[in-house]
Amino acid sequence: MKPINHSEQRSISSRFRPSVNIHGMLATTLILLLSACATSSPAKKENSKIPFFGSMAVERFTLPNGLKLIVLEDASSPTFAYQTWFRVGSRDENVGYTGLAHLFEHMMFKGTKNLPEGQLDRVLEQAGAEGENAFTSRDYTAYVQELPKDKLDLIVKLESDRMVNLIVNEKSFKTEREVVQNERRFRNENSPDGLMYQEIFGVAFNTHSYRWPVIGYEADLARMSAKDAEEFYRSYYAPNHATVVVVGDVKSADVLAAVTKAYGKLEAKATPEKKIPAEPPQTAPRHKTMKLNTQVEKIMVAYPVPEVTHADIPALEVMRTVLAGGKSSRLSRALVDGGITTSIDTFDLDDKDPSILIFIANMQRGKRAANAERILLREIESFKNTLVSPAELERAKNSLQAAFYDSLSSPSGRANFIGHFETVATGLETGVNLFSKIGNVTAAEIQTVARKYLKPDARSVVTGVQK
Amino acid sequence: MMNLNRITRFSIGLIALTANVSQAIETRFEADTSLPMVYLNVAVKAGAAHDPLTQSGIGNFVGEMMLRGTKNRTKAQIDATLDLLGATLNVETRSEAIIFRGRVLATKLPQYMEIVEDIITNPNFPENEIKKLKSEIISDIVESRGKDARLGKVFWDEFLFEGHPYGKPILGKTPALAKLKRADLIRHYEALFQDRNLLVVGSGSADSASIENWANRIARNRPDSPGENPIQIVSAPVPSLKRRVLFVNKPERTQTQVYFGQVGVRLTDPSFFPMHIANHVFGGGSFSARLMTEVRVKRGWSYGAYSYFRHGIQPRSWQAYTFPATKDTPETIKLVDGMLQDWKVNGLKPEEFDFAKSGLINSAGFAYNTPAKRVENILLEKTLRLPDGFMKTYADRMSGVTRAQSNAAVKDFLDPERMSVMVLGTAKDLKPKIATSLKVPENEIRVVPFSKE
Repeated sequence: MKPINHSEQRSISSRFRPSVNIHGMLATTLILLLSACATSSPAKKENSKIPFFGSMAVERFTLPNGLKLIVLEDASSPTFAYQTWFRVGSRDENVGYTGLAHLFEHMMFKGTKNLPEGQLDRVLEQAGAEGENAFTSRDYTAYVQELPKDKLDLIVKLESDRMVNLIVNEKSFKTEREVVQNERRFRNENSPDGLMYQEIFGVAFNTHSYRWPVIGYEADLARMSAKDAEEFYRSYYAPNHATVVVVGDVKSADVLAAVTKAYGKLEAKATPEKKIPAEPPQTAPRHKTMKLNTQVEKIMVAYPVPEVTHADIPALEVMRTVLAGGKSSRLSRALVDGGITTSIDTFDLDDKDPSILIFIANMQRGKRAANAERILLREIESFKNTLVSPAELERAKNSLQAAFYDSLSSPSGRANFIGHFETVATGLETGVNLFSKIGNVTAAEIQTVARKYLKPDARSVVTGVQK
Repeated sequence: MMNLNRITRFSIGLIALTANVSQAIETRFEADTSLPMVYLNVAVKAGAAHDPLTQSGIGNFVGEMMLRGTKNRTKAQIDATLDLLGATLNVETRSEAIIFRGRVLATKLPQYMEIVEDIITNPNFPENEIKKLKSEIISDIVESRGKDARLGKVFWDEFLFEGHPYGKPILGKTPALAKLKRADLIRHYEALFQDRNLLVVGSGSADSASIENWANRIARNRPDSPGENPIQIVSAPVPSLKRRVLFVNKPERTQTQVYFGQVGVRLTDPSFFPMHIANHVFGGGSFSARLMTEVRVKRGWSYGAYSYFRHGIQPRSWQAYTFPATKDTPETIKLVDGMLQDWKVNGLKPEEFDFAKSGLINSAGFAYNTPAKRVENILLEKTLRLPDGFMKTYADRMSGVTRAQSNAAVKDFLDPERMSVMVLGTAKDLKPKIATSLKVPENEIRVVPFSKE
């Protein structure tokens, strides 16, 4: 049977799905310095092309106002992907205003000072745009589309315009807030999986802003006004908080010229000072049982793991794959082949701050989630006590390698990879290095990270049972 | 207001696609060396629509069982080998196709072809795995009752097609699944997996000759049985003679799933492309479409509102779908019903038609701009018996369509008075109000519990 795809729960979009991220306050000082010299200097280009995968290489530029531009020339089809990644997500929200980053993402498709409401979609549609969308996660907000190759100037003009000229009016804000409430009903309120996913973060985090859902709480959404959205926009949407990624049948010189012309005059802004408190270490297991509209029991088990740039991530990714990364994985054999669950899934470890590794399983009819938890814990303890076999190690590495390549099989996939690592990490090199380091992970390193992170006392468990 | 750029269509350059139709198994492979990966699909031109009446779900079940043991390998050996190769192999069952979707690191392709060949030609349907798979699929069906969108789709298909094979659920029904025997699976496998029903389609970093040789090896193991092909094309579904309304009752819903629909149009029907443009104006995936504008953008009643065709060898379905809050559902249904009537009577405005047509033509190249999409197009063309290259002709076929043709197609095709309507929600909150919205007697709304199969 096909593995369950939980990817939609990671981020959410204004068009058909929701999401979040980046830390945009990386240096208020630096930002202010940059704004002083905006438009007066040429873009800074890195000395040489940055190796990507295979024969592909990218170029990275930084405009004087702080806007980062990444270009990957790829003439395999006469199209290009154009993505704008902002370093802001639900992590940057305040208590009482959860969901604002995502709700605001919806507002970005409204009118600007130069383009009346409703025209953005029409202009892009006429231009033959494909996959016009956006998504918000805990760490970022991204706006994406693909276009025929001759539409570069058009999209540069449209995206630079809405970066600074958006009009947030009360009427369209109220309507869009209702759309988001409906999205929340769709993803969470009427979905057992959505409710549990929301809850596992609420149980695992007590202080960090990862504890609330990207889509926000109903009451928080209800109290928000157009003024809140306007303030959010003025605080976080600026060239120095964004990365533009262009992948496709373009010339980097042409892209740089068009982007410099359209964005170069925009001023950098200081980001509001916001300290996100680190999550204290968890010293005792946490359990929560939810009574849900489900006819089979479900379970999510989470363990604290480090941020995506941490040195342990390659070994953790291999560990995660040995445990739950395929039909021959330890947990699939014990739980699915063992007749307890219909599936066992995990997510990539790719958050900007320390986060959680979640194991997710649906029970087979009549089976108990508590039993699945016992088996999962038993397998993990056994895993920590013996080195994984060479065959298991090779299986995991090959699976990860193939999944990496698969994610890069289209221009938009390549742009997603680049945008993600440029936004949540120090640059796309983090992703490329992660990929190469996975090939060198040893059985001993896997055992070390398993012992370090998969501690029984640090787990959080959410169980879903029938009402 | 910004200036619109000049509207141009884009075209794809030369593609190294190799087609070999002289083989016993038709094979298409596009070499693409951009990444060290190979995508390889083996498809059977028969799916859930071909499940015998008393064996609901057997097509999908056979496909899944083929991954669970051959005469040479156990399930554990298959799983371990595929994972070792960095490969995936999943079964996707459609109404008229079962597709083994595969992906492998290019360096591991020979080993991968060897195991897939074994899976296609030597399945042995072990009894212990039959028992396990029954439990997994039945559990999955039961679990899906918690997912309103997925549950609604299953009810909708069965309701719309009223006993026609297009309404059969892909996974099947639990009582029929529970009764499946090993002999049933072998019989169904023998009927489906013959050269004339098989297709190999792929792309990636490999030479097409090796793929063709591999397909030939499979062909030698799966020759056609004598006589008529046991897989016959299903008959065309018959449109409903009156409006029918179904309410799928599920407790505590704060949101509903709403469908309007009728039997559709063949892709090759002369009215399809005029209707395709007309549908784009009404609800075709765009934020400029009427449904999205009226339901979401202006009123905020739902996260989405769309209309679309689903395709089969025969006319399949045209349907509109939205999922409003429970409190807004009666008004949403009334609004959509009124919009359907207006669409039929008044057709498209000139500017709507021009906008939709040019947008569709300008974006048509995105239907085949990557190897993966081209592979999907071939799978669609072959499994739906369309002419070769049909999916690349959308732009040309739309370019000659006039507004008069689109309006005539809408008038002729659309039948709001006899359209089927389904709501999944909490009946006690909504049934009388929906009867009012649709102007039907409340006792003509059939109510079924969400757990019914």
